[in-house]
Amino acid sequence: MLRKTYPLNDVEDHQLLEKARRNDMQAIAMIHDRYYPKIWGYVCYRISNKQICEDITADVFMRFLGQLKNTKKEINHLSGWLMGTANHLVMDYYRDAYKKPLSDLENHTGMKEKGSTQEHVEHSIRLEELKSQLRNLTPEQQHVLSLRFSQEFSLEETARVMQKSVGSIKLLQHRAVESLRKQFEKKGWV
Amino acid sequence: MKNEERLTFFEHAISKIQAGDALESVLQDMPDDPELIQSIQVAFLLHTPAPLPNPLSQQSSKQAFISAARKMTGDEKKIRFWDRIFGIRLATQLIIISFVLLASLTISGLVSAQSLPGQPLYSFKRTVEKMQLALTRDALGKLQLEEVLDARRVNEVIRLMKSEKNQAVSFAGWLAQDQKGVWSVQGIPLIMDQESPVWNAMLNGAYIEVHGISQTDGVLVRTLELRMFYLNGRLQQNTNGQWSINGIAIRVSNQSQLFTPLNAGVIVNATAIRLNTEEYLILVLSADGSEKRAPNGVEDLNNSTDFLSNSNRGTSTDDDLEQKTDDLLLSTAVATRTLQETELSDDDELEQTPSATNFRTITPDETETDGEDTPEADDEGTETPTSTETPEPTDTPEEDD
Repeated sequence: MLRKTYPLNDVEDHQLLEKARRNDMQAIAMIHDRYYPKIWGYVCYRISNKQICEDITADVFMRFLGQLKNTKKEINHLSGWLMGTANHLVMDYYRDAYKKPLSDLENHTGMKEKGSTQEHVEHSIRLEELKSQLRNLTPEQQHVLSLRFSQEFSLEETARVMQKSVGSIKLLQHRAVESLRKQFEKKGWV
Repeated sequence: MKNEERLTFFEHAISKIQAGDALESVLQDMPDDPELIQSIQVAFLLHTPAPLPNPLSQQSSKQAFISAARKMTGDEKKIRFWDRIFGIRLATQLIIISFVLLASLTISGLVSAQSLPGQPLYSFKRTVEKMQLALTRDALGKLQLEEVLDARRVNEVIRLMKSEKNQAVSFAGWLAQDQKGVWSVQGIPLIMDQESPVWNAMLNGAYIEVHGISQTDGVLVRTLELRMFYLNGRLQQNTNGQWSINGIAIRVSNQSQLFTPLNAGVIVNATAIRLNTEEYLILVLSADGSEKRAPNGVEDLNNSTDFLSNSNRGTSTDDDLEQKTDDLLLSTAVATRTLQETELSDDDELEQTPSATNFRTITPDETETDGEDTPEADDEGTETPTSTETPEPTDTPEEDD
């Protein structure tokens, strides 16, 4: 009989989670240290405003604390739960932003950096365009592309985080890229 | 190119992009498929490795995170029982409270069901019974419930007698006398003073309520009363001419006070005594909600008691309504017995029976003038037929018979 094997990171995560549930402050701090950069990167991939990225990332960890003792909806996969929560919060942010559009141009990543070259500004604008094109995709498509191209997760890792099969992830990713390709084609980017 | 192949090439290209290969290098190994190449170009554009966070922001977030975690664990220890209770939502609280109340009532009800007079849970048992009775709207159902409760009281007295406990008891049933001359109610022997049996003779066969003290050989009687029943409902008459209130068969004697004519379909309130297991004898009948004013052609209280006061008191002392009611009860007690003995169907004949005539000689007034008040009358201060009035032995129906 084949035994299911878990990646080392998942085992470590599981141990950290157990310790965190027993109020082990060291484990709680380690979770923050390990995942803050990843969550930050994930959120920044989809939101340009750095301040909002920081707020959302901090919110993800606060929600994690709230969920830690919830026995009804226990966290089984730490990385998956954190990334999933980040995805929801980003979606919530855009939903709110759609209702109350932000007009603070200074918060724009490219604009507020001093000494930006012409090339840098163009790259930033292009990134913004890219992010706005991403927003036209479904939440799941956005999530899969963020995991694969920002977090550089493998197909298997992505499948574990999203709790789907590898085949489903392949298809989901393919449809997302196809959708973007058509949009990019219209813009002449490809 | 097949979709499956394209997906495999695309996945291969992504691996190379993630590894940091340049776009040209990635495309080099790919087949000449324009759609695939465009998809790889999109993937290349999408590939933006995550930037590093600001260390200060990270540190600040960590401090807030640890502080919140510490607060949470500290708070958790402080949560006490009542905090947990008050933390529950109102709806859940109400459900829990209702459940606890229901469970405690059920348990108390079950435990108290076997309790006897004098025991701690007995008053609870009686309260539950009173509530049951109060909640029963249907007149017939109420009577049936009263019957059940009466049977329960009798059972309690029997258990008290068996356990040789002297306890104040009240119970109801049919008064009877066996061949040895022992008076009993529902088989429970009654222990009485010398004069009581004479008085009992009048109530023989009536449904009475006994108040006394349980003993090993019976119940020491303090008072005997006719049991009153209060009926409420629609007056009906069947093809045999039998009147009923909500299906409860009734009889009306010429001693009955009718404040409303007997008309089928009228909603009435009635006070009655039990004639037999099936029928009730009406004492007072009035329309529901109407004032008790005697209409023309209907017997009123004065008429029904005139024959008592005129012959015995000499003067009409219309001073005390309670007194009159007692008188009426006495007359109906006699009427009850007479009806049972002679099975008369015509109410008019009741007035002609010797019992009714005998009754006139045993009014409370008469005993008062003779100065023969019984000790019970002094104690109780009431004038119940059995406890306050002692008839002359020669005047009882038994003696006549």
